[in-house]
Parts: sequence; structure tokens; C-alpha cells
Amino acid sequence: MKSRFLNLLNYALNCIQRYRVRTIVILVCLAIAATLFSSVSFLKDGLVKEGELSLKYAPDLTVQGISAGRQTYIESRYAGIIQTIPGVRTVAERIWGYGNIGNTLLVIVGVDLENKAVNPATAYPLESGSFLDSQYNNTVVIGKAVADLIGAKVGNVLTILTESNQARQYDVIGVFNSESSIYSADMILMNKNDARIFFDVPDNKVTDLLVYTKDVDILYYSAQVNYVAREISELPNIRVLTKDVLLRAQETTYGARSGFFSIVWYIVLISVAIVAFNQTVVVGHESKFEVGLLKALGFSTSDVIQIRLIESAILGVIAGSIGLAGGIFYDTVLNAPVLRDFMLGWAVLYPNFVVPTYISGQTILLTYVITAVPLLFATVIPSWINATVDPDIAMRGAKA
Amino acid sequence: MIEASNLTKIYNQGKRYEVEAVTDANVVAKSGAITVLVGPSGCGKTTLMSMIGQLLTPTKGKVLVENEDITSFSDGWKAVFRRKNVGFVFQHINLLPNLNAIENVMIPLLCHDVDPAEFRQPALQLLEQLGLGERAFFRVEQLSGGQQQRVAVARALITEPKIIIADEPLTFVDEESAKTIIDFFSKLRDEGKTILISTHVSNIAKLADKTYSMKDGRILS
Amino acid sequence: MKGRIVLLVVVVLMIYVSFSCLISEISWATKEKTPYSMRELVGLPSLSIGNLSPAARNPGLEVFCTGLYDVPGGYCNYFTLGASFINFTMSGNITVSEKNEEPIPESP
Repeated sequence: MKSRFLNLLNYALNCIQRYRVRTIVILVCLAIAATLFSSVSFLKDGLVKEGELSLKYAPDLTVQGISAGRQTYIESRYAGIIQTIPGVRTVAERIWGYGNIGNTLLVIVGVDLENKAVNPATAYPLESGSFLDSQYNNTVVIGKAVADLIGAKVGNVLTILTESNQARQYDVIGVFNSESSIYSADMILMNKNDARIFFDVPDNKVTDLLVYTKDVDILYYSAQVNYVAREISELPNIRVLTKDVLLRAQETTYGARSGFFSIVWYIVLISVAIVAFNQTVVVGHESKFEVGLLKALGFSTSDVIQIRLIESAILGVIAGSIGLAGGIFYDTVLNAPVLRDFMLGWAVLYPNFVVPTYISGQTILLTYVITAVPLLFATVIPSWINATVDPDIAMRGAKA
Repeated sequence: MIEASNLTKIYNQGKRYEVEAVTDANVVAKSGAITVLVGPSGCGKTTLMSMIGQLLTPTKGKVLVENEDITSFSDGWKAVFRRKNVGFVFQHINLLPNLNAIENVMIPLLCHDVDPAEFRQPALQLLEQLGLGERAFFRVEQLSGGQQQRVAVARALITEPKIIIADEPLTFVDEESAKTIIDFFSKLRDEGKTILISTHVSNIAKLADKTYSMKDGRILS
Repeated sequence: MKGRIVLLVVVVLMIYVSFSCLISEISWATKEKTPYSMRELVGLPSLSIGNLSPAARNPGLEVFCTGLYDVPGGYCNYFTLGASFINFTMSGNITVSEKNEEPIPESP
């Protein structure tokens, strides 16, 4: 049995070499499909995983104000009310918003430096300068991409028009490094009070409230968070975002974006299946004749199908390996140009950082499956059809 | 011994272009004998040969080999039967392109549970006996028609079958190759093989221990 | 011979892929165990901080939403969830100067 299988394997390898043009066309198309699929998957998985990791340290609940179905500021007094809910450890205020420099979007975040969740200043990944200090107002730490865009460095003064159309000046005291770009590239960080003035937020309001729940056993964590969320939801005109909601939104966003890109590899894969099917059934006189001849020489139907199965599996593995290697190279070495911008969408500001990628065993296996399976169907089914016909008819039909 | 009785083949049965290619053919081929089927082109020789070799399913009739009805075998068992017992030589030669002579000879071994490498020497010997020792590694495209047919004969014999079915083996063959092939068939007969040949050429008919004439799908004698 | 070369190339590629997978898994496992101050500060990768308003992150991609704008009848799910950045009035004028230079006078 072992020898027989090896013989069929050798014959299948021989077939791959003999039908050279067909092999190359199928391999190239499958490899492209596999590269597209794997590169998109690795990047999407990496972004989602980065999001998951960051959510570990995110507030357990984010509370925002809603008015007429749109987000609006939330009253600061709600922080005191929420603090009284059993299970709540601490509530912090946050003021942030979007800004733009021409067409370039950026995020302006006001940090509560008194917040216990904020680490010591030395912990932050700065390329130059220092972190914010609660003693000093009108100071900012900016992201690398912002610094590069406006040509700013530590020691410069930024004069920015605020929400209320006033020109205010901020000292650049720090610039985040490139490694932290995924978090900081398009960010201008200032203290909360400066942000309040910048966005002209009323004194009794903030952008959102960050709720940290008490430490409990992981078994009870969800129940505690859900309870607190429910209690907070009783307050008027607010919405409560749990970590789950944020993660799901992130997964949906990247899923949708990767889905758009996936259309390309769907098309390529279908093309491969059509080519392979065409070659085997409609145009494949040689293939039909060969099947008839093999049957005449003593090969059974199952032998013929085994040969085609082995052929398809080998081509699938070769194409899958090339595609995976290509996808990994594209994501990790080339840093996923084009795809990165498509997935992350930074409008105009393109940060320079290494995109997070997650090369999982699951994606690797799935890539091999998507390369091998369509090919299997496209070649094995027609071969089975040819193999169940009388050998004489197969050979004569092919010659005709 | 092969006994074919009442073999009939109707193509496109019940359809518009129904053709009865062979009607009630009875053929007996004994071991250690050359049985020849003669007839004009298009009389149904190839169809009959294919039915006897189980390359084509008869519409009616049966084929007994050593008193065993092989017509009733399943597709899988027919393949096993062909693999173990039958060597085919086709009119159109039917070698696989892009392979060389010895690779073509060894193809039937691939469906056996053997290591083809062990049969390399026997394959080379066969080719030598057929006058192709020096061309064993030539690709098919580099061989003449006669040489290709000799390779096909070697391919039919590599598994040492008991039955050899040769359908018009000398059609595309030069005189020298024809002589070699005919001499080889004689030798195989002396070894006790059952040989069934169809032809419209007289030099093979001279070899026959038994001759059947065929016309319009029927055996005349 | 050619077949062996192809086989060797495929084996090398598979080793590269497996090795990359292993490195990736180890890297993420290490990342999970290592606290990172930026995550604690920002709470989400900044590209996601406005995630519920993805139009703000990629107007080119969500153009079918941005085209509707946040107006009655132009209902777009993204906008009901996120900041109406289209109406955000930061004018976009930003200047950079050295610390010792004369400050630019406030606009009237």
C-alpha cells in the first residue's frame, strides 16, 4: 500500500511538471490570492489584538452624553452620582476632541494628571522632552506625525485657534517616539483644564466620564460591570460604553475594511477555480485522454482521483506557502503599504510605525484551506467524471 | 483462455444517432496461441477488442476468462483484472508525451504495490529485446512511429500479463519495426500467453493459430 | 532534480512561515504580560479613540456616510454614534514659533 501511494505521488508530481503552463498559471493566481488573504488577515488580527490589549487597561466603562441621538458633553456632576454606585472604584473626567490642520485630522486629548490611573511621567515613550506636569498649564506633548507635519520640536510654541476662535499658545515640552505611534501619532496631549479651554467646554461638563470598577475575581467581573452599566443607564441622556462594545466596534470596523479588501482575493480565487475547471473539463483533451489511458493500463477510478487529489494538494500547499510567506513579508518587512492606509485610514496624516500583525496558526491553516479546497473541487470533480467513463470512450472522445 | 459470447455494442442506444457497432460476436482465444481478428476498417474490430479487454462495457453478452465472467465485475474489479492480467497495445500507440521511453514502459507499475525501481532493469531488457536498448532514455517525440509502437509493446508486457490484446498494432509502423513486433508476438505465444490481435494486414494473419473475419460488426467465421 | 529544488523551496517557505508564527505568538504573549503606559493613558490605540466615528478616521473609505453629512434625512449610523466632526469648527490655522519670538497677537 505504501509503495502504491508513493507511486501515485510520484506520478502526480510528474503531472505537475508535464502540464507546466497550467501549473504556473494556477500557482501564480493561488499565490496572489493567498498573499492577499494572509496579509489582510494578519494585519486585521494584529489590530484587533492591539485593541484587545489596550482595552485591558482601558476604563471599565466610558460614559458619554447623548442629545438628539448624537454624542454631546456630559455633566460633571454625574461623576459624583456614579461614584456612589456599588462596585465603582473611581470615576475620572476626560476632555478630548478632534481637530484638523488643513485636511489633516488629529486628536486632542486632555489628561487628568491627578488620575491614579496615570503612570509616572517617566513611563511614557518620549523621543524628546518630558511629559506633562500638573504644575504647568499651556504645555503639550505631541505625536511624532504631528511634529513632522508642522515641523515642531521641543521648545517650540504652537499658536492654535481654539474652538472659540481664540489664538492660544502652547509650549511643546515633549514629542512621543515612533514606537508609540499607533497610540500617539496624531495626538496633541495637554492637561484637562487646557483642553477644557481649548474646546470651550463649559465648567460643569466634560467629554466623557471614565469609570473604573472594583477589583473582583474574573468570574464576577462581567456581572459587576453589567450591573454598574445598568445603574448608570438609568441616568438621563447618557450612553454607556463597555469594553465589549468598544472591542466589537473595533472588530466590526476592521472586519468591514478587511472585507472590502477581501473582495479582491475572492475574485482571484474564483478565477483560479474557473481556469482549473476549464482546463480539466472543457479544454483538457490531454487530461481526459490521460485518464482513459491510465484506466486502460490498470489504474482504478480511485487511483485517478487520488492522483488529482495529490496534485491539487501539492499545488495548494506550494501556492499557500508562497502566499503566506509573501503576506508575512509584506506585513512585517514592508510594513503593509497601501493596505495599512486602507485599514487604518488616517486621512492624510500617515504615522510611521510598525503595524501590529498577528501571525496565528489559525490564519495559516485557513490560508492553506482556501488555496487547496477550490482547486480540489475544480480538478477532482471533472477527473472523477472522466474516470467513471469507459476508458475506450475517454480516449476516443479526447482524440475526437 | 478467453471466451467472448454474444457481445453486442450499441452506441447512443435509444437516441437519434443509434449505432450498432458490434452484433452477437463470439470469439475464443486460447492460451499459447495467437488469435487474429481481420476485417476492413470500420467493421467494429476495435470496439470488439475493447469489450473483450473491458475497456468498453458491452450492451449485451459476456466475456469469460478462465471460466470467470469478467463482464459482471464492478469498475474497481475490472481495473484490478486489467492491472494483473492484461497488456494492451493500441492502434494509436498512446504513449504519454513529455516522458521518455523507459518512463512510459514503467507507467503500468505505478498502480501496483511495488517499487518501480526494481523493474528498471527488466524494462531496459524488454526495450533491448525490441531493439530499443540505445533509445531507452529518448523522449517519445524523439522516436519514430515504429519505435513508439515498440515502446508500447514493452509497456504492455512490463507487468508480465497473461493476456495481450493488440488492436491494429502495425498501422503506423515501419517494416523493420513490424518484423520485430511480429517476432516478439511469436515468442510470447511460445511462452504460453493468450494473444489477441486485430489487423487488416496480412503478415500478422499468417501468424495466426485461429483467425476470425469480421464485417459490419459481425463475425463471419 | 527540478522537483527536489521546488520541494526544498517549499520546505524553506513553510519553515519561514512557522517560525514567523512562533515569533508572533511569543511576541504577543510577552506584550500581554508587559504593561504599557500609553495604553493606560489613552485607553485605546489612538486610531480607535474615535472609533465610534470611523468617518473621522477615514473619510475616503466611509465616503458613503460622509456624503450624507449629519443633517436631517441624511441619517447615517456612524454619525449618530460619533462626534459630528464635519461641524467641528477648529479653523485649522496653527503656527509654530520658537519660544523666544514675539507671540502672535490674538485675533480680534
